[in-house]
Amino acid sequence: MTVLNDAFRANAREVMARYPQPRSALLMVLHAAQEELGYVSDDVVREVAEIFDLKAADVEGVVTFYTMYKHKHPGKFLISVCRNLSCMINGADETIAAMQETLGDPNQTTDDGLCSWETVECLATCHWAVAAQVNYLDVPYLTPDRAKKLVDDLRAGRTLDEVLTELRAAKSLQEAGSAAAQRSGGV
Amino acid sequence: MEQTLVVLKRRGLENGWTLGPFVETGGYQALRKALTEMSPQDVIDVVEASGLRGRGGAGMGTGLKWKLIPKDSPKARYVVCNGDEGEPGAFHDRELMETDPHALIEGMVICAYAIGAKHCFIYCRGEFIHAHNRLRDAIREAYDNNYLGEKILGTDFSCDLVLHRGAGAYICGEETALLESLEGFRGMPRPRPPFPVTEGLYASPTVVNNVQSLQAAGQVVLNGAEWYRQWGTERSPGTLVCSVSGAVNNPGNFEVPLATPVSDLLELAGGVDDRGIKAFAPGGWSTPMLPGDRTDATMDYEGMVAAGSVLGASSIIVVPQDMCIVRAVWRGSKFYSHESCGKCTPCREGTYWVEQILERIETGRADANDVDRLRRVNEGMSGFKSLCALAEFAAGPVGSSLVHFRDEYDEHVRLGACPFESQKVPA
Repeated sequence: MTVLNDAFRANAREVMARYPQPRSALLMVLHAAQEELGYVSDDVVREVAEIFDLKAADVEGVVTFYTMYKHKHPGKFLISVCRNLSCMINGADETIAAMQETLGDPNQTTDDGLCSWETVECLATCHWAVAAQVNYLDVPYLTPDRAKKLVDDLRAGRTLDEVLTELRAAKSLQEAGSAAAQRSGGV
Repeated sequence: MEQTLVVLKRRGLENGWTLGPFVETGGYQALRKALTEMSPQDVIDVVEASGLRGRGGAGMGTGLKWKLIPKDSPKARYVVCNGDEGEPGAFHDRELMETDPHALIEGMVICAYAIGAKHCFIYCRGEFIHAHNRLRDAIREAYDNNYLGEKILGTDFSCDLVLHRGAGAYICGEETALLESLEGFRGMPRPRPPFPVTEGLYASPTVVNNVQSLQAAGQVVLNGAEWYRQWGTERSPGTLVCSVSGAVNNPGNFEVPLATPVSDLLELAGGVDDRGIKAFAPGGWSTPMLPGDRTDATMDYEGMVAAGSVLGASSIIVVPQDMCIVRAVWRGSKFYSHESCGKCTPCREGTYWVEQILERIETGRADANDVDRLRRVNEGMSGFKSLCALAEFAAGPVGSSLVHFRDEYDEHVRLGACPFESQKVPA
């Protein structure tokens, strides 16, 4: 019994053919496997190694080097919150505390399998500090209140599309009502 | 002051990332000109004459890099775009890829023509799904309309472009680590020499250029070297996209002539917010910080060195007055120790120990020698003792904060606590 089916393998070979040397496609094929199965399991490592004619340990070495490859199944929604400088200056620690309060420890999954959260480094959306992503889709101005609302909305069964559209309506940190903005106002 | 929109000229253009609006606003004219009116050497000459310098951080002449590709090599040549923007505080390459992907494709094909390459690769940071999708669609449009593929625009020149994704590793923004990653390995830097221009991707001659450099090169080919030199200085000509974030009212990307003072950029960003400015990093967090009264420093390669920092990724982070410098530097140090790939001892050990000492100082557990110990370890890991510059990046904020804010460090040790009471210790 294999986890990667024939269609996946055919597609992998097609991606490999785009590069002068097939091994170059390794990161892309691992991304594809993770998209299909949710994470990079030991079976995925073994089968991808087989596709590339590499040792499983060689592929495992690559997988563990890159933070986007997950070794266990994250929740349906993976919330990533930036903790780097520009976001820290604009309240990332408060947002992270709110996430901890709402969802518990990072890098875990809620019992219902719905949510996981993690802290990440600069997402290159510093103008949206506190910057965040849900399933790698950008979320601007993630204040503590907006973080809690995000989780509540997802738990209430609202679609990610709907929730993101609403969060993206805010055009400034002030409008999003952040703790940092209140601090600037002397509160 | 007004912005000078050159590489950002399609910002705000409706569907500017699709082929129709791109071509209507002069897109692919530079490619047509290069392929039909210029020799490869002409292309290299105009880019070199423009004085365009790499926007990725090192500031090497873009034309010079292209010129260094050996003409007699029997090996294939490659063009690689470094779209792995990860420098803390930098967000311009992402905007450039999202708003003007065709300009990047155009610049890359022009470069391929100039150096005789048949293969181009865009290494797009893994987290940039939006940029990836825009690039993917643009590449498809370019193939469908003969701007990529066989016999481009009816000429004898053929070229393929592959869009590649990273998977979460800051180190892959370093060019040799990026090449390792693009070959399907752990992204660890290689010794130099040999440099990528002679032994890069698959040990073959390779140009690795930043997003903005390639887009600007296209405009230079179309409009000429003198046109580009109307902005900036003799040694730092042209325009530069600067990211401005942190304690400002209207953070964003702003394109200005090189040598624009930091103060003008802060004004474009709506001014420093109510918290006031304590310090700023001019080129991303990895560049030495300057005190808040040095906003007269100019955003060009020479100007920033004269001011005691470097231009780096031209990304200003404003640190507010109420922010504890030790805490900010500690936060940065966690990033560097996490992102150090571990290949070189000074960086692997240095970033670890710097983080440990900073934690002791910020949490009130430091002894009287810890600040000097921090300085010594920091000096020990820097000075280009490693294969890549990550250790220098890690050392920049520590060393510069010790120069400008030594009293804050000493105050922590004296009090046995962080004097910024309002600030919680992060987990």
